[in-house]
Order: sequence, then structure tokens, then C-alpha cells
Amino acid sequence: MSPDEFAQHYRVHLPALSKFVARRADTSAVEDICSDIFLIAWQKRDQAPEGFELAWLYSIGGHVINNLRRKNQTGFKLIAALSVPNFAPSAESLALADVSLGSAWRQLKAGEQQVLSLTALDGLSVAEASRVLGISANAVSVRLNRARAHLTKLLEISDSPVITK
Amino acid sequence: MNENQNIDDLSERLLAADPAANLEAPHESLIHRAIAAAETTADQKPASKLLGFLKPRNRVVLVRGLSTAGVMAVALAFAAPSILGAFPSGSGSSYLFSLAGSTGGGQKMAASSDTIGAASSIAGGISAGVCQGFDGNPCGIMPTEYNYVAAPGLSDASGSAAVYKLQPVRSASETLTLLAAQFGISGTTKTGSASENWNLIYKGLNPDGSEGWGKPQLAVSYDNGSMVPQWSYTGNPMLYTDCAHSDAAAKGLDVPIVDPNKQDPNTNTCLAGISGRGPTTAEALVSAKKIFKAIGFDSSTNLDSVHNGDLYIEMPTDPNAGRDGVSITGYLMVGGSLTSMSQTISWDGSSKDISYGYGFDGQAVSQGNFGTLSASAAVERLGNWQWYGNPYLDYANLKYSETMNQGVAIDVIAPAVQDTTAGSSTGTSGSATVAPDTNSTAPSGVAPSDVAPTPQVVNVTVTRAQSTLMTLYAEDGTIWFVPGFVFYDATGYVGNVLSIVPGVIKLPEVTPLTDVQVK
Repeated sequence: MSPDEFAQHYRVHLPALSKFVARRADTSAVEDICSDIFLIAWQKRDQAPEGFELAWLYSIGGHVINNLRRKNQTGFKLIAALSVPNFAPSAESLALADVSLGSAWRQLKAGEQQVLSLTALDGLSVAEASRVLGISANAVSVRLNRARAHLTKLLEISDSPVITK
Repeated sequence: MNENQNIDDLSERLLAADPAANLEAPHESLIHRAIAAAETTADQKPASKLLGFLKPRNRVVLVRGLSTAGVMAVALAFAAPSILGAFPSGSGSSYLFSLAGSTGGGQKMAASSDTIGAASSIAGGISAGVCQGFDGNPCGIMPTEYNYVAAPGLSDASGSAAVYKLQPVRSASETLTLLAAQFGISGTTKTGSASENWNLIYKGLNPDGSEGWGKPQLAVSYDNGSMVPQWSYTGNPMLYTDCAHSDAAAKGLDVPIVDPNKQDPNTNTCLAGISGRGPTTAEALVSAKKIFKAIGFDSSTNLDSVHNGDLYIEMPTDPNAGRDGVSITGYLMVGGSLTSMSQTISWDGSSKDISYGYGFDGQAVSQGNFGTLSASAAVERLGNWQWYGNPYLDYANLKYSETMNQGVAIDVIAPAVQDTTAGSSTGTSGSATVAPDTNSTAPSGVAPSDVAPTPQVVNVTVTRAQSTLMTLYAEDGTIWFVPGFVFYDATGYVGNVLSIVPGVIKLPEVTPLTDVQVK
């Protein structure tokens, strides 16, 4: 695959990928991170799973973000804005638009946040999410149902009016 | 509310709170840049490989019309690119490209140059001006530090502009075939000696198949990084036979011997050979345009009819100049700006045969828009050679800044040279504004010649900025056109800098220059 063919094939995923990154890092770092993702994707282009390219890019993106986060935590000031300790949007970023949702989101387990964000926000199917997370589709389905139920319950509490005496 | 309804509501609520909902995706050129970065990091090239990028002739003439600063930048491109380290992990891939260069090569070039621009290209804008003693004789090198100031009227509006990359439109072999037909060269094609990262192919070899100067040759080289064919043509070098001794053949000499009586003693040109046998300028223009067209370039002497991708040809003002030798040079128009990227066809006047030519075979392709500094903000970069580029300049009509070109202080704002004698003149005759530094004395026990002179500071007020595109060579051999400004003060041309915001291209690293190096 030539560079032009690669770019032609993957450019359709750039908008989704950049949003994927923006949900997990500061928007000012999106271009840097996307560049790193495509750099790795180019180097590993022979390993791209046909039909699951976006999920593959997300998977690379997850590693890139986590690596940068680790560097940031160990003194590298590469991207200071990376502060979320897991592979999902932060509660704070969601709370900017929905305080109750942010509050409920914070109480989810990391795995629940991951599977919910990949399917509800990042637009992946269960099969694609299984590629990103490295678990079976069945496991994703089970985890997704539990996460939805958990979030729904947390939202019922979070949304209920505060009762004061 | 059933479970499905609950799920839909949940998804909608999550999407409504999506922190990236309004994010504008990066330009897709990001993918190309990432690929380029991946290739670069995977293939860091030592200097020896890039030194062979072009034939020596092309290194000099390919980007004709460079400012001195531009010459330095091109020299940097070939000097020692290996000094540049690999991209920093994790962040380097965001660079559009890594500008070739090194401080070592730059310092040598700047220190040895005696023309405008190069002096100020030393890191920090320190220059070596010429001074005169009381007797009017040169008294040595007096460092000058230029202080670049933006005039109040200079624009302070930042913006964005496209960056272009020169890309091939065909293979080097195809270029060779097309041009060989134009130059009337036949015969076999031979691969020349080449390094690992650049390649050379010839057509028009000696009868024994050797390379050399026996007959017209066409050579096309290309760097593995850019893959843009660069061509050069050498006509028959045996054009001076009229100057040869009549008995040369009788003596069985293969190489003509120049007869001093038939040679101009001042220029060493062959008088007999230059006898108005060359084409007229009009004829030369027709021939050159035909050759340019063969590799896809429309060209015109009328700037108004030159479009992007075309060549603008500067014509000699004398229509008959061609008969005594003429060069037709076309400059590539990119993004509405003329660039220094050029192609040339030349005749030496001794015949209507082309004596030499050179050029490239590629097209500029936009790599996206990038932020640019305002003209007033970019003035500061004149003091930093890292930001210099190679613009198109109309050298025939270019007037240099008197402030900088004279090499002496015209608008001195600080004491000049330290002298070991208190109250002595700085020796800058003709510049009444130069103030002696009465407090400067040599430390006890130090010989006067050991005292480093304090640079005189000269204000250069930039009053006009012309937006343009600079030709730049990347570390990987690719050629780019990057936004920049050509600056002028009230007296003429001052210099040029890139206007692209920091972080888009990786600059050569700077090592502070010591006084010893300035000398």
C-alpha cells in the first residue's frame, strides 16, 4: 500500500478518530496524538484487520494515549492535559454539559466507562468494541448491559431532587 | 419505560454531553505528515548520503536567485544534516518536515560570506562589518549586531497560508526520455554512480559508453526522499575549437589547445567562438519554452498570464543579447507566488546549440493551511538564521538596504568598538553617529589584539513586507514551499524569513556562536 493509498483509505476515519482522541485528551493535543496514531498505523499497516480499521485505529490510539499519560506522570511534560486515569472520557468533560451525568459517570468502573464510551460515543458496534478491548463480543455485550444498567441506576439517584428538611 | 427506551435515552444523553461533539477534524494532510515522519524516523540519513543529492552543478544553480541567506540555507541543506537528531519520541511526528541544516555549516558559510544578509544570519544577528582607520585603510573586522525593528505601519495581522510540497509527476526514467527527445540525445541509458539514497541516470554517453565530457549528456538524479527528478544537460564542451592551435591535430592531441591570441585575456573566453553565432533572445525563448513544455510546464514572460504550476520567464531587456550568449530561466509559480525553484536553458553564443540546462520535474501540492505570523511579529526572526528561506527575488532590479549593505553603522544606537585607548575614535569614518566607548580599556596585561570588540548595534527598521513562498529543503530530501516575508527598510532589501508559526516544521538546532567563530 502506497502512502497515497493509505491516506485515501484511512482519511475517512480521521473525523471519528480525532473525536475519539478529543474525548480522552485535551483538544490541543488531538493533532499530535492523531499524528502518532497514523505514524504507528503506517508502520503496522500490514496488520490492519480488514473491515475493522476504525477499531484498529482506536486500539492504537488507546495505547498512544496511555503511553503519553504514563510519560506525563513520570515527569515528561509532553501533554500536560492528559489526566484521565483510564481509557475513557473523563467525568469532568461530560459534566461540562450534564452535571448529573458527570457525577454518575465518575462512579462507574473503568471497564464500564470504556465499553459505554466506545459504543455510545465513539460509534463502534459490539464486534468492533471487542477488537479494541481485546475481549470477546459476548463479553462486551455482557459488560455493556451491566454498564448501562449501572449508569441508569446512578442517574436515577443523581437526577433526583435533593430533599431537604 | 421499557429497557430499550431506557437504553435509547441513555445513549442520547451521553451523546448530548459528548465533549468532542463540536470538534473540527484535523486536515487530512496530517496522515501524509505522519507517514513522512514515520519514514524519516525509520531512515535517518547520514550526511554523506545527502551530499550526493544533486550533481555539484545543480547544487549551485538549481535554486538560482537566492539571497545570501538563501544560499546559506541551501548550503545548510547539504552541509551536515546528520547532526540533526531523530524526532523526539511522541511529539516529533507532528512536524510537517524537518528542515535540513546544522549550526556548523551555517557558521562557516556566514563567517566566510561578505555579502548582505549572511552576516546577520549568524545566530543572534551579529555581523562582521568593515571599518576604516584614520588613514582610510581597513582596520579589521568590526562586529555588528543588527537590531531589527518593525515600523509602526507594518501589518500586525496574523493569518494562515498553505504549505506546498514538490512531488513527482513521473519517474526519472520518463523524465529522461522526454528531455532526451528535446535535446536530441539518443543512445543507451546508464545508471550513474550514486549513493544509497539518491540515484543518477545518464543518456548521451561517450562512444565507449563512458560518462564524461566527450559529447552532450543528459543526467537525471533523484533523491529517494523526494523522488522528484532533477535534470541537467551539458552540451558539447568542444566549442572552443576556433581557439585551438592550428597544429593541434598535427600533434595528435585529442584535447584542443587554446590559442592565447584568440582568447580574451580578461575573461578567458574564446573570441573566435563568440562571434554572434548564438540564437537571438526570441529564438532562445521559443526553444526554452518548448523544452519546459515537454515536461509539462507552461511558461510565459508575462506575469499576468502565469498560473500556478507555470514558469515565469525573466527576459533580458536587450532583444539581441542572445547572440552573444543567453540564459532563459523560468521560475515556478506556486500558490500565487513566484518561487526560487527554477529551470534554465543556456546558450554560450558560439552556436545555436544549447550549452547547458538544468531543472526539475515535479509539481507543488498543497499540504494544508497553517498559521502564520504577522509581518510585524516576523521581523524579529531576521535575527535568527533558523527562520531564513529562499524566496524568488528579482535580482536584476533588487536594491539592497544601504543600512546593511555598507557594513558600517548608519543608525548606531550603542557604543561601537572597544578600544584600548580611552577616548579614541571607533574609526567608522563617515558615520558621525558612532560614539566612542570612553570606558573601554583593555584589562591589565592583555594585549589589545586579544580584546574582543563589542559589537556595534545598528537599528534596521523594516518598513515593508512582501508575502511570498520560500523554497526549503527537508532533511529527507523533500522540497517544500513555505510562507514567508521578504523585508525591506526605507533603503532597500533587508532579508527574508519564514512566517509559519512555530511547531509546524522542525528547525535546525542552534549553537551559540562565540566571538572567536565570528572572527
